[in-house]
Amino acid sequence: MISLLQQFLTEAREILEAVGDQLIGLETAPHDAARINELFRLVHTLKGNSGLFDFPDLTKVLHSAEDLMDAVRNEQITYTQTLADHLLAAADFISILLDEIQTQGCYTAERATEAQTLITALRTLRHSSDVHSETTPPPIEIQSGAPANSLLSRNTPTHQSLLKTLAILPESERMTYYRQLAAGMTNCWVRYQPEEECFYKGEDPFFLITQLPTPSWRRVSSRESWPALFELDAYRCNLEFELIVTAPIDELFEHFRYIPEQVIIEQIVLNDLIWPLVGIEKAGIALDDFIRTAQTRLATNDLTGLRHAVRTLLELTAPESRIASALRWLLLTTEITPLAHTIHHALLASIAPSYTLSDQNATPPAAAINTTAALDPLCFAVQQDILTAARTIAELTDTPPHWAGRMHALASGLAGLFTSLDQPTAVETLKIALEQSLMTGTATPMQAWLAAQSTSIQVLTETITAPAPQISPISNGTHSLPAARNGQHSSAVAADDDAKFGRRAEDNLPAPRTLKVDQGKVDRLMNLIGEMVVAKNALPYLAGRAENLFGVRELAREIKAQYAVINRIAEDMQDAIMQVRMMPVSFVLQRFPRLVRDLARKLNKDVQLTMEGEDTEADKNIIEALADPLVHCVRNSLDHGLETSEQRRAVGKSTTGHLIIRATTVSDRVVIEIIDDGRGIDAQVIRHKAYERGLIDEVQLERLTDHEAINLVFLPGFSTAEQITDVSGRGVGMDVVRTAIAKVNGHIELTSERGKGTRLKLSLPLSMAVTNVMIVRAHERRFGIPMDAVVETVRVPRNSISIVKHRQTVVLRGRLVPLVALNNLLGLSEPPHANDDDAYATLVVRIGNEHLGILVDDFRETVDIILKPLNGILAPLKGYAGSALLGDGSVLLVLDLQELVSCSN
Amino acid sequence: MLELTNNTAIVTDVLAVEDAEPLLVWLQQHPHGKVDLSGCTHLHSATLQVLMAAQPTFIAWPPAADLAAWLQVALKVNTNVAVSNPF
Repeated sequence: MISLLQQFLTEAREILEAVGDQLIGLETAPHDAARINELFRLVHTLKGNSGLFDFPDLTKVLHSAEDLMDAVRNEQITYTQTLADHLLAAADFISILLDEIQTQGCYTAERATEAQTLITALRTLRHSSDVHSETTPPPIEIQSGAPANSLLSRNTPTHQSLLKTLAILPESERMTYYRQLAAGMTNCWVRYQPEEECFYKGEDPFFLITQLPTPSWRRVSSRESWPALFELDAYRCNLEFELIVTAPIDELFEHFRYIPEQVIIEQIVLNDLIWPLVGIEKAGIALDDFIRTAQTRLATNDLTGLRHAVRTLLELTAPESRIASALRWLLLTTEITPLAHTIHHALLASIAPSYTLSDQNATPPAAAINTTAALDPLCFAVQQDILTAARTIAELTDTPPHWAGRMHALASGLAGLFTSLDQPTAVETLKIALEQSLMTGTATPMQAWLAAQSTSIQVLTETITAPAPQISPISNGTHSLPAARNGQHSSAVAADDDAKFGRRAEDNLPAPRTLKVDQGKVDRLMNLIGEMVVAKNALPYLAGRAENLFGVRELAREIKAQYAVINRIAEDMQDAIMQVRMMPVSFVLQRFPRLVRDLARKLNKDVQLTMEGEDTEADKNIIEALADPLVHCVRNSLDHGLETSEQRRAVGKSTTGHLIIRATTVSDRVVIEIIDDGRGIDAQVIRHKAYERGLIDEVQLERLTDHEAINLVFLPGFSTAEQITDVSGRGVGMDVVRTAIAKVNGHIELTSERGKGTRLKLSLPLSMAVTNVMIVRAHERRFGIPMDAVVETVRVPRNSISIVKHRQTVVLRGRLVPLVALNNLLGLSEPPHANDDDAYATLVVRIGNEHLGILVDDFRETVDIILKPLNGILAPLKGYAGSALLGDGSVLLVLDLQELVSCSN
Repeated sequence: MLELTNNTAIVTDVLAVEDAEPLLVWLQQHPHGKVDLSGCTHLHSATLQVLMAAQPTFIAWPPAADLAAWLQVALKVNTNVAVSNPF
């Protein structure tokens, strides 16, 4: 269990990193479907994994994120910066939870509330498109003409399932719901189809259903019809639950949070309830006057007048007819939702499907169907209805006074339909048919035209709707849904998507080519090879003893030969283990895209980050030591270096600031440069700041070169920020960076050109594990001095040493080098020994940017050692970098010259 | 608890998932058996679907209104199920 959790934590971190990468990648390419899919896959995997453990808040947050990504993936909502912000916040939150789980085994209880806030935020984003159509009253769409525009965003297969269910409710119940919705209640429709195997997972779907608030409508049915009783498998779930309940959609999602794939939850909106109008079709009622009146009254917003007219007509109409139903709805909607003009118009249009409104402002329903709508099976249904109605009208045999108007209306409606289907030729022939009809005074040409078109439209619509045959058009009356629907979300597209993602489970992961090894194990290998090196180094001593002490030269030679072999193997082995410890710089660099993005947004700057050489490798310890200083440097660049877009524009730069982080390998060091093209550092300002803070005196103020002045920022207590922001500038700054880098034997260099930008160069050893030291002797003792500090070794004759200001100095290669005896530095009383030629062994070392000559008694060989820091009670000792075992078993103390020199000063 | 007599299946408290199989067998053997749910507080989905498939006669419904409403919708054909679309 513990190891399973451990594995989960490790994997979760990796997934989170990948999630971060994808999110940042989406910043530049927000429509990259591959990234969005990958992001969904990652979140989905993480959620799945988290379900193994009892961390409900973790799972819930992931679940919301997954839902959101799913919606993005299915193009129900678009990927935005806000969305990215929320997802990043969620990723951060999960990272915190993981940390707490790692350290304490669980997370603190307060996290639950934070989780809830996040979930609500994510859910809001996911449902924002729905919310728009639900909370904003549907009015103000009079001009648009399309009766059901507010439905555009909801044309999903699930929504169509909802409409199908609502269609079987009696008109009176739908009216009740309409009243409730208009009064602000939230009614949701839930369809729960438990999976067949659910009983084997310990689920009881019926129990889950009964735990909901009492529904206002419910249905329990079987997914497939019941088999004969003796063939029934009691443990194969065949149930399907449907209900309408007054509850917030969030609560319902929460209720079914563990089985989201088995439920469909849709919030019911006003428009869903009206259609279809159910009733007997009654032809032949003279509605023309009523329609005309109603149209005028609606246009002038005279609802009272309209309602009066409606009531009058209602008394004359048979209550069971479809028209009566439409009239009742018109009464209800005008009363409860007087602003929902779209609905009123649609209802009015449905009362007289054949009637083309003479009012110029109104558009016949058919014309509202746009080209893309042709893809929609529901539109197909509507088109069929229009054609049926058109045929009925064309076949009417009566000859009322308005017969010509009727023909015009018929043609106009059909023209709208065929324009929407993008069939201009049909529209042309229709015009001719209409003219012929009007000339001959019979409807025959129109009938002929309709018969001709029926076949062509059949073919057209069938091919279009073929991919989504499962959604049958809503069956009954004319104009059941006179809606122009958005083809973008057509079910054909959705079905295609489903097919694509159905394969996800089959995706095979390639067998892992990398091993995950606990760091402790590698460290142990490291220590072992260290001992091996020491043991190996004992062989030359042994050879020496064999030769000198026992006088067997042959054996000594053989030992030396054997040593050469072992030495080669040991070195290769050491190299191999080093390689294992090597990590790419990207390990620390990968956080920067996110960091730069967040900071840039916070500081309101436009920054483009370029990273180069992320695959440069260095020892793990070095990489880890790099992390904090790098963050600090990048923050500084963003905060102090780069200007805002306005400032950049003002000085004639491109508005986007550039920040480059470049990693390269130079011989045995890794060099990291942080380059910005910001305002640069003003050496004069630095000089004065340093002087004001007493960091330099007046003489230095005059004398410092610009380069030296700029490097004053590394002095402790230096900060130039004019205002302290929460990004950087609290007075601890570059000195911390320099100390941290120096700790791993690195150094840092700052160059800057005013107005052009700043370049910060960090140089670190590739590996810390093996240190090359030179052994020197001083007062009969041996000390190690790290080779990277050594510039040269020279013999300085006593007479060339001169005293300058009480200090011994020597001129070496045209340069004045101060001398100091190692014995002095170590507090030993003996003066250094000169050799037979009266010359001192002098080790010229670099300390900071200065050269210093150290007088020692003698030089010895250079060796590779595994440097161990001083532990325990020796740890506070200053001046020593650590100790190492030599081949003969003795301990070598390695000096930290920088510390030693500063101590003695 | 499920108590099976010659002609009646009496349910008290919870009808658990493991009762589904005996109930099914009993209903297969007693096609005209009656079911008494008067003491029932919950029945597992598996038993629910057995009852739905078998459509036996019910003597009594559970006292809890909500549960009774659900069961009547599920078990009584066309009771309370709104089907009013003439088309």
